[in-house]
Parts: sequence; structure tokens; C-alpha cells
Amino acid sequence: MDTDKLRNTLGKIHPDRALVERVKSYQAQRAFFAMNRRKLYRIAYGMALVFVVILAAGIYRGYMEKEPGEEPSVIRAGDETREQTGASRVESQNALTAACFLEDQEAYVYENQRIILLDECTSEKVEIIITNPEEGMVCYTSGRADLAALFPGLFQNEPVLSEEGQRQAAVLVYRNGAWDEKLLGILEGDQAEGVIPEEYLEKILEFAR
Amino acid sequence: MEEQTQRAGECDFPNRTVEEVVDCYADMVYRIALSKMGNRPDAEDIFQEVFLKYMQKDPCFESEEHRKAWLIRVTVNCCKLFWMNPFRRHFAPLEEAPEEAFCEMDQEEQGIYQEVMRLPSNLRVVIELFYYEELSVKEIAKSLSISEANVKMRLSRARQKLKLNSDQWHMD
Repeated sequence: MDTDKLRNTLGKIHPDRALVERVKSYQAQRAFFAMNRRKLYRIAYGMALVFVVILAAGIYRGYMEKEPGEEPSVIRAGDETREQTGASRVESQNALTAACFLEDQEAYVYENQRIILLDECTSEKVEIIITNPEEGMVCYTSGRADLAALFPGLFQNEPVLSEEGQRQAAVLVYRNGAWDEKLLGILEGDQAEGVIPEEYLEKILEFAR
Repeated sequence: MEEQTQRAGECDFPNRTVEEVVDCYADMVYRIALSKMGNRPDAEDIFQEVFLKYMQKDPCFESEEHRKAWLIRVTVNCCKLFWMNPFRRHFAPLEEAPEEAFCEMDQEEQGIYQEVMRLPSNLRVVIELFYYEELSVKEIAKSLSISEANVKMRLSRARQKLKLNSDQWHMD
């Protein structure tokens, strides 16, 4: 074999023209990304930060809901309640009377630790979660929080009410010398559905008599 | 572009644009890749990778020879790395099909090409660097990280297999 022929043969090996053009275009693409790299990093960093904050908030909220007993007793009631009743923030923790002044409010039990308040005028629902009724109340409210102190000591973790709880419930059901038929009906309905213990209503009524 | 101008100022040797470098060395890089890989698709992958590395690193060169040596070295390294990939270690060709010749080649050249492609890759690359790129034995040894004696031995074996005329050997 002749080396010149070998050289000629090797000289005819060329890459595909389209491939060469494609490789040349990489430089332009690279310049674009290099220019925007800093911006892309900032956006990615911002998104990561937001994700971390949301994650931390979720974990914190989960922790608060799972172990409320360890949190300090704080009532987060609206200022409107205190203005109408004259009760201070601390006093309102145990002030059943505060709720009784608000005639257009209707309250019923939804879960053991949850109250849904229905304002008949505005049809607005307010959800209150009582997490530590033993030492006052810890309430997290959405919307109006006027009746955060409606059932202090009433809805405890124990199925049987404390004496203070029974007394307060009785006052609510039998007030101004007459039975509150609507609230009584709600409590009876809840008892029938098993939402509240069987002896619940009996004890309240007994106390009221 | 600013980056390139700045780098050109730092280097003694004036920088060329990527387009110029690709135009100048595309054939050389492709031939070395083809001789190392033995098939066109893999050679094309290596070809792209070498010039991507060139763009990413944007190295400074002292001379055109320096640039050429850098590209040869990177091409050889890319070919080595290609086979180091654990996924590719399990690859095997389905059949020993002959590599298709280039369309510009005549009948005789196609025969020579097929013969060259039948050589083992370590002999093929030495032939390519010695006869076409016209590198010295010393330069080939440096580029492939092997001894000069090894280069000479590979050249000798390749010549025997290709039955090259002994009077045309130019070994310096």
C-alpha cells in the first residue's frame, strides 16, 4: 500500500456538514445562557427559599395542631367582643356572659374541640378550635372571633363535662327564664348522632333544673 | 464576547473565534475520534463533546501548535472516558459489520479505508496521527500518554497489517 494513497484516503474523512454547523451554533446558545445564568440562579434561589418557608410553616402548623397542650394559653378573640362586653382579653377567657350579650349568634357543637359559630344576620361562619380548655382557651379563629369565649371549660377532652362546664352550658340552654329551644334541638340532634356523649345533655338539663 | 476579548488580552497568543477553530480543526478531531471509536455515530458524539469542552473551558494558548495539541489530547481523553462509562461497558456490537466508506472515496480508497478500519483502534489512531496529521513519534507519544517505543511498535504493527511499502516509512 502506498502512503500517499493512505494519506489521500484519510484526507477524505470529513464530519457531516450539518454536524459542524450545529457545533458552531452552540457558542451562540452558550452565550445566551451565560448572560442569563445569574438571573436564573436568583430565580431558583428565590423559589427554593419560598419552598423552605412554606415547608417550615406547614411543619410548625402540624406541630401546633398535634401538641396544643404544650403551647401557652392564649385567647385570640376579636376586639369587638371586648368592646361590647367591656371584658379585658384575660377576663374574656372565662366569660360566658360575654357570649350571652350577643343575641343574634347561634352556636352548636361540631366536634369535641371545634365550634362553628353561625351569624344569622350575615350568614357568616366562624370556626374556632379550642385546643386547651383546661387552662382557659387557645383559639385560632378565621373571620370574626367575637364568640371565642363562648364555651370556656365546656368542651374538654374528657367525655364527661366538668362541673363548671355543665353549669355554663345550662345557663346557655336555659337563659332568661326560658329554654333555648333552638340550641336544645341542636344538642339533642348531636346526641342522637353520637357527636356528644349520651350523658352530656342529661347532665346539662339536670343542672339547669 | 466581552469575556473572550478579556481573555484574549490575557493570552500572549491571540484567541480565535470558536467558528474559526471548528472550521480549522473539525476534520482532525473527527478523524481521531473515528479512528478511536471505529464507528461514525460515536465519533460524532465525541466530536461534539470536544468542541463543547473547548467552549466551556475557553483555554489560553501560546501558539497554534499548542491549540492543536490540546484538541488532540482532549479528543483522545474523551474517547477513553466514553468507554469508562459503566453503562457502555456492557455494550457489544451485534455483528462485525464493515464501517461504510465515505462517498467521495473511489473504489481503491474505499478498500484502503476498510483495511484501516479493520485495524485495532490503538493502531488506527497512531496511523492517523503519523501519516495524516504528520506528528512526530515524540508528539504522538505525548498526546497518547505512551512511550515513544510503544508508538514505534504500534506504527510497525500497523504497517505490517496494512502492508505499507517499507521504502516510504518516515520515522524520525
